[in-house]
Amino acid sequence: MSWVHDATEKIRAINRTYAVPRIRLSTGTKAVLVLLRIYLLTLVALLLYSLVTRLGY
Amino acid sequence: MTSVVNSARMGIVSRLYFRYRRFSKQLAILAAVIGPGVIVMVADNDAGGITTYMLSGAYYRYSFIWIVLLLGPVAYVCQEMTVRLGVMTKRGHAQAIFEAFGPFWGWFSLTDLTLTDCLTITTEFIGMTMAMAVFGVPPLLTEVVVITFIMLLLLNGRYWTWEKIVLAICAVNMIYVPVIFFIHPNVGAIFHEGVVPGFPEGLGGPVIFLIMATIGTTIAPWMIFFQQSSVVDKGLKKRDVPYARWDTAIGSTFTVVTAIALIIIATVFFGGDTNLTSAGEAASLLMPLHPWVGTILAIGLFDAGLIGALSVSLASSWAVGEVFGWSHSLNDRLGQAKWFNVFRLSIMVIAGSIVLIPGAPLGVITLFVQVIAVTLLPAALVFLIVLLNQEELVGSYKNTRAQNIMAGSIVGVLLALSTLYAVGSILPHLFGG
Repeated sequence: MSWVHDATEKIRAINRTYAVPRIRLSTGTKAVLVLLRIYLLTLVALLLYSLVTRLGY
Repeated sequence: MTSVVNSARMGIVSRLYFRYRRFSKQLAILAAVIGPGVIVMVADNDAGGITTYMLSGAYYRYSFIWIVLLLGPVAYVCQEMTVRLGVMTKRGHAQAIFEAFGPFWGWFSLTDLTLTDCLTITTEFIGMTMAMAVFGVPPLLTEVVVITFIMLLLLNGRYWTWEKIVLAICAVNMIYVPVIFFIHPNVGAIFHEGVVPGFPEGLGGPVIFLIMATIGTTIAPWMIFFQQSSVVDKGLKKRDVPYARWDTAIGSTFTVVTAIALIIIATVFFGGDTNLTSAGEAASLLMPLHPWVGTILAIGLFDAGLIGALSVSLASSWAVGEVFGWSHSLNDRLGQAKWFNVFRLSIMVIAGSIVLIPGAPLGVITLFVQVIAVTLLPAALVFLIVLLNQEELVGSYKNTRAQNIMAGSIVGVLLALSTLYAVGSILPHLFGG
């Protein structure tokens, strides 16, 4: 399973490379962005629900 | 006196000559810069787009034409921002997000992009296999030939060669336009139903769904990533920005013209037929009655799927390549950019496999993928707007207030439509559906 180890190491290296963001977001902006993402993912979940019911599964 | 007249004439001639030389020089530069904008815009009339436009024409006749007319400038506003960001940062969009917002938002965006791209490539293969089925070609053979062709295009290892070949494939996307001059559509109805905004049957759930699918096929997250990476890989500079804007504007005009032609064709042959499920089905149905229209529809659908698969697979491969630090330029030979190409091949194979599942509802999947893409679009646009407001990143190319208002309004409308549709799918009685 060395590839899993290699992939994990690579992801950690990427996280370290970009650890300090160039744009400082205020806590409020961060919260809005998180809420927007959650909201959009909820909408996608509803769309998938709609697809499943439309197909009659 | 004669010498004065002669010298005045010489002045006019030399000015005209100077203007001619300047114009030809500008045209030559435009010809060199043209590519990323046209490719991304034509590719958004992909196989899913062809199906969406065919269904909107079949279900609601010409009444989607005004939406398409509005979407042309909207797509331009979104894509023009990626040109400025790419030229000024020399970074692809994925890398720009990682650098600007950190790994949390970076991984979020990259995962969104990869998943939606995989689904979008599935719709491209759906379109291509349906189109070739009209000519009796089995789906597996179509997929193997297409994937091999896409990978072979990279053998040369030159961005310019790749771009010129893809531009030639893009030109075939206009195949629908001449058709409208031979099928005698009702011009009065086109203007009456198509140009005047409105929906004769009201704004019900199915209409909102198709509006969202239409928006989803005109602007999508992959387009933002594609054009920015493409601008960087091509090596466009600050002085090329005005030409790159023309490139994007020309591309969005092509998109709108092709989309309108498709809606007209669909209305003429299927207007009022709500049983139609896909463009592939439309081509099959037309073959016995109007073989030449059916053939053109199938060729155009295959071409659209091919451009889509070429571009969408590149968008995510470029993005993943940038973040993982793999060699990811089209100027690299196939073997040099090994992981970039392995990733691209993998997502195409996965997407192609989904299409081969027996009994999969391919038409419904195609529309839903467009709608999912448009639902996730606001998140990508918000990052794009924030990045374009950072003077230290883009200098004098930062968004003006007008550009922010336009881009912000697009985000607002997308959010409102997504919400309307989601609410409508839980409480269908609200829209009378």
